[in-house]
Amino acid sequence: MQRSSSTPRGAPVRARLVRHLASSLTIHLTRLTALAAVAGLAAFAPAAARAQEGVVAGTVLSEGALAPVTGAQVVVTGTQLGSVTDAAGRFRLGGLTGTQVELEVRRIGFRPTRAQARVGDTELRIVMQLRAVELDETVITGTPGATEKRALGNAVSTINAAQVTEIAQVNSVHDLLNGRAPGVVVMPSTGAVGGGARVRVRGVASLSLSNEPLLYVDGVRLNNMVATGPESQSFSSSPISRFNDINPEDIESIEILKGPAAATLYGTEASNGVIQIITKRGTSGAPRWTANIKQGINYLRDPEGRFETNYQPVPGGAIRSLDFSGLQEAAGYDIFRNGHLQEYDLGVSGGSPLFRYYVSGSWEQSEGAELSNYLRRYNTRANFSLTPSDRIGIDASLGYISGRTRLSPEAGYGGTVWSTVLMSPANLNDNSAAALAADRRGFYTGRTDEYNRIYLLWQDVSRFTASGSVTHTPISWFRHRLNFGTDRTDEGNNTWYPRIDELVANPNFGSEALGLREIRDRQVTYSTLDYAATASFAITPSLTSATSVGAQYYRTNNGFLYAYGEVFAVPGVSSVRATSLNQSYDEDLTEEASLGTYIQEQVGISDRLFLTAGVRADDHSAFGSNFDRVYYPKFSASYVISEEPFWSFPWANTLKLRAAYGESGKAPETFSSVRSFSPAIGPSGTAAVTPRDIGNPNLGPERGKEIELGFDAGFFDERLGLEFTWYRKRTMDAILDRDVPGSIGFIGDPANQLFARQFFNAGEIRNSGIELLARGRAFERENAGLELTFTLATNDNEIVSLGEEGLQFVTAGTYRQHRVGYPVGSWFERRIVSATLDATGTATNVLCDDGSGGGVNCNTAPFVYLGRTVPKVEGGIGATLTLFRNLRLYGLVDWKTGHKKLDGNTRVRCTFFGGRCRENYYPLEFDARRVAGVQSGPNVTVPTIVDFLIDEADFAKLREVSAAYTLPERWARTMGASRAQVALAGRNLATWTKYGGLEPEAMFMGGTRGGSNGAWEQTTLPQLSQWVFSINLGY
Amino acid sequence: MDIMNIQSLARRAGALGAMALALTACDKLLEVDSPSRIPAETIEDPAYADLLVNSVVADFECALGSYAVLGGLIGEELDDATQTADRYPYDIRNAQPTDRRYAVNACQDLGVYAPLQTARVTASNAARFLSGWSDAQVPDRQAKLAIVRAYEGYAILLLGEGFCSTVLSTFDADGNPVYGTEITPAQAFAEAEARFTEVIDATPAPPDSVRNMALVGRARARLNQGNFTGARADAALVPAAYVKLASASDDDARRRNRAWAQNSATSTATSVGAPYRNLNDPRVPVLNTGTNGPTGIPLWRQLKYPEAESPFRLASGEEARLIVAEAAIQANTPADLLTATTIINEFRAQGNQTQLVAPTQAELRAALIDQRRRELYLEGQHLYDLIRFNLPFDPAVGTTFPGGGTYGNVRCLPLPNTERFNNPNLG
Repeated sequence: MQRSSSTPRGAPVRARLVRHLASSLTIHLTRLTALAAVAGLAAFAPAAARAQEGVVAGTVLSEGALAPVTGAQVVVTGTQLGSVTDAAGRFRLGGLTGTQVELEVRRIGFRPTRAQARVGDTELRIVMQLRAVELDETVITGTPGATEKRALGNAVSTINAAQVTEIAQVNSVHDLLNGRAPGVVVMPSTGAVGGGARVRVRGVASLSLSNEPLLYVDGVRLNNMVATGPESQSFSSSPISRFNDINPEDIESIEILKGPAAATLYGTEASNGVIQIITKRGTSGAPRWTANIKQGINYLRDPEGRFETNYQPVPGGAIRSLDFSGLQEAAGYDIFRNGHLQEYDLGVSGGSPLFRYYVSGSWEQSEGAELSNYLRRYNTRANFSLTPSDRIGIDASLGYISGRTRLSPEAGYGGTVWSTVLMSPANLNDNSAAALAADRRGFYTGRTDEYNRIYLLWQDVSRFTASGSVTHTPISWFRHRLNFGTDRTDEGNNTWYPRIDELVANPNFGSEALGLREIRDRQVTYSTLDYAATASFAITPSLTSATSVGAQYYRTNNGFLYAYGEVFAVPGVSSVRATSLNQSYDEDLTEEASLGTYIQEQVGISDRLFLTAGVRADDHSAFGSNFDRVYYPKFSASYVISEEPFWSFPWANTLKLRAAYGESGKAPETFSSVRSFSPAIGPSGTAAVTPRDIGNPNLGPERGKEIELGFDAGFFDERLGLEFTWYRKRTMDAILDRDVPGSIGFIGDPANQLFARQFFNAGEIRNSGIELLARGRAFERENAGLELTFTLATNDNEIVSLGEEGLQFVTAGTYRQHRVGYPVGSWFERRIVSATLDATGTATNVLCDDGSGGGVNCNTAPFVYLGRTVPKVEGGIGATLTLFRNLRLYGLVDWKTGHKKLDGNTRVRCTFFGGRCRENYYPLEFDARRVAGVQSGPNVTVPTIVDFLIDEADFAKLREVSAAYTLPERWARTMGASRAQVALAGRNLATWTKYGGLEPEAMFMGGTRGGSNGAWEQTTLPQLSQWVFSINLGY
Repeated sequence: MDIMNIQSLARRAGALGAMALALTACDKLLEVDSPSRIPAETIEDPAYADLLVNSVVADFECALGSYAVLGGLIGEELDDATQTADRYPYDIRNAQPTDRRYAVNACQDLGVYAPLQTARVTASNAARFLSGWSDAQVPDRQAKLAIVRAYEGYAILLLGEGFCSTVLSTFDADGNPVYGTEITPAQAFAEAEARFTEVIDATPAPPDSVRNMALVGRARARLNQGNFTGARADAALVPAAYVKLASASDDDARRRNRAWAQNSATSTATSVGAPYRNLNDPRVPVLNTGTNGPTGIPLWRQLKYPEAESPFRLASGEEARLIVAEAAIQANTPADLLTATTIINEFRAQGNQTQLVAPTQAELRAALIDQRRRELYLEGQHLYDLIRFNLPFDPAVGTTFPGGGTYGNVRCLPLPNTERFNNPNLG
């Protein structure tokens, strides 16, 4: 239900002041905390070393190739003493007493191993057995403590981030997710450094709400907004994602709960899945320092092959052509550059059984291929663990990031890609006196160097996250924990056109060269309070019970400040106050809150069969006033059948069967249930209001219902592991925002790109598919081993109903519809099925699809289904070849198929801005239907038809390659280190696609051409390629 | 793990569960702040009658500015000088019902359909509330009611003039939408006329300024319906010096004069259209900046609205006289033609034009059209003159557009798909 409280007079001003002070204090305190922590721990380190009484050190190796196992946890049995292996597989434990200890070694992908060690032994060698399926591995499910995979009735994808970042070039959380977890689809927006992506887990489950999964870090919900930043692409799209504020080097692992069956305990908001990020933590022992240095380049691969040759008539009537090479020659400078990438990470971890720490700091600067695009940021993290007694465990995490992402204008904003895609032979300086005077050098509008001078767009971000967790086990059968934390993001989204007098006379920029300043500051705060308790009993020796209850409270606060002005009196000034025209200001605040509780019972039989049932109750501030709380049930079963005495298939070592059913939800947008007006200024400065949202008091949450069946199996002595899942997910009461007819008068807040919409619970969406993860050791010898990983996921998506009787479709954006019987947000357009060309190349006899395979006059033809916007099939294949123990060669190819994109580049070249395509001048060389599309328009017999632009976007990419070599110890010592690894890694090195645009992965993230299921690519930068050389040192 | 009896387990779990579920009753925790949104029920109060009236005026004034510019682009009063999607489809005359910009954009972003509908609905709702309240609750209630009805009439009038068809939805007494059906411009003009008539016939009589505003509006609506006699009768009642302005200010972007925002010393988004560049008429003050836009067109600046605060003229004695002249030309008697000639020659004198001597009816009609485009330049009038007089396209359909492509033939804006696809009465 919607609740509101009035704000007292003056409160906004005070609130702003308090927020500002809090923000400043937060920044300063965080910086001080981080510095103090690193300094303090550095001082603490020698003391810890002196405190050691006995030492065990050694190396953890994998069986077969005897490759070092990095990131393995080595713990002295029965104590908190532990260590984590480094890149060379080495560990060191201090503070030991006695003469003999038992060590437990755990690592994702390996069978847990125990080893006896003599105190004082520093050359211990522990060999771990690879396990393709590890049922004793624990994952986070929402209850206190972790749950072993054997007890889970649903699939949970785990990404060993520490292992990935060690060998592959990973720039972001999105890079970590891509191609590694079946069912998780990452869809980037632009290749500009700092650009983010959308993430879809098990398809599109919502018609109108965000389809992004929830994001948790160390148990606390974090800001997961995508499409933030200044509007760099026009059409309302901004490409920066908050997912990517998290430094991949700080991540230990990522766990993905993929849908309602797994995420019921996360309640309303979790129906799109949950991404859990677990950051690195310290283990007891002497301080272990790590230093990582990266140097590399970002570049646009093959611009000559990507950009189409353009054609135009020139004086005299001849048709002149211009390709990228010609344009670059005419420009007289490099249109795209090799951007320099550099990153420096420093970390230290260690501690004692009582207190453990992990502290890291990093600084990175990455330059894009466009002249003004760069990313600069520093990132600090301090994680602490305190174990005052066997009954209490306290964890605290502090993270702080600060930086700037400078974006180049793209798409409708103009800019480098825009002016290059539309390169114009008529604008070559040698074409005419007028062209020479304008000095466009073949670019369409402004030269790229001019664009980069005048349009300065950037986002400053300052983000502080803090989380705490207290786990208490007062008695052996009862455990409870309290998680709490906050995530505060301060975004400064800036647009600045400096006054550049020499460009005022340039018609491409005109009055914009007089200057403009726009500031959109946002302060977003997520707060989490999460209590959970579990009582565990052995009812009989073979029958166990675990009863869990929990309550969660989440609150989000989104503040917004806006300032705008035009025309600087003189060059050199940049503030809104320095503008002399059209100044305007705005301020807003939105809040939402949710409160939920759950109870769950899990019964285990003989540690092989696990049955779980639970229910969650949620209430949310955005529910309509006529809607009360919602309940979500869950049931699951897990059966490790391979551990039954009757199991007699030696080739199948492990087999777990699982089944799960669960529900979760998705809350409507804040205030979408309320009919409201916006304040306005009336005549003579009087107060006024204007209609805003029509509202819907009956609005409730979407309800996701999911069933999944699957198995986890290990074959051939664990050489091959398979995880297979079939799922069927239904979204009931799917929330649809349809355009409100303008005649109702409530028009939203269009000045802020929030157009008139009304949300209502309508219809049903079905998603189904399979997910397969296969891991295997193709071969292993003493000096060589090859590991292969294969992922495959399919998604079948269909709108079953739109709620209202007879309602078959609603528009979902330009050329997209939500239509019953088809995937969400599919492409619909008239389709030309036949045409002929006359002798001059003019299309005649043009007929369109009549909806049943026949031809009909295009003016009366129906819009027919052309394809889906989200991939239907995605997968990846990765290979790691280990040679001579210390050399690892790695590669990952991923693909996405079964979807289409609108090739906006061809659209603007061939149709929108006049003819620049070869089809315009040599139509007889082309298919008559394509020519008919190019020639269609409002002033000819065939109306504008863009079916030829909605193109299959299937692709495969050579996403990652690397070669990593662990240097011999003596070489490391020459650098003063105890271990050293060097690596050369590449990213986005090849693309195989038939897509006609610049980049099958690029698209708008927001606006009328973007949004939740948009797939419109237009003059945005393709994904950049990278080569990075790194040195990793340990001390 | 301890072994214990199931009863004990159930008791403990039940207690914990009950505690947890009790938390969901904490409604206080779910209270959220909404400092910039005003719930509808807040303003539906007689105490806010003035606020409602001011809101009606504000919504209409912003919509009028946007309509004047967009109509000016279609009607050659302005040319797009940057070739962005904001203006290009209108200047090239190929606006399509799929285009969302004219349909849903805010008035400050050159939307016209939604802003005009907002102005109409705001006025309609205000009239509904004012009608339901008493004179004791609202001082000058009848005058306020007349004002909002007059603005409602003008909003409907512009929807009829600018769109090939339109829809007039309303709200019932419970605040539920009552969706309208698609109506023709003629039907819209009849609806507008009814609103103006309500003002003119109101008792007690509204203030003269409001009544004159309604008289000019009804004369215009009647003219559009071919009721020349009725139009002339209304127009003749309007004092020559009467003028009703739509105010503008520099308070915020929404309040600024939209023509100035699109064409001024600080905005080269548009240029003055070619037919208006060399009139040498003080009523169409322009300046050649000597520079070209990106598409090569010369940049001419309009000087009629030199500041953000420059008001638009909504209704005036001048317009009324031109209506009288037009009706007289239509009547085509010697006396009427003389009346029309006299009026038109007075206007021609203002424009430094020679006087007409014994013109024919056709010559007078051409002269009238010429005077209307000069006198009412960039006031949101010329687009419908092009339509109702069926004037030739200039440039002709098929002429190469400076930014690429060719000029089309779309004059009246089509009913947007956002209305057609989402209004349950359409489809």
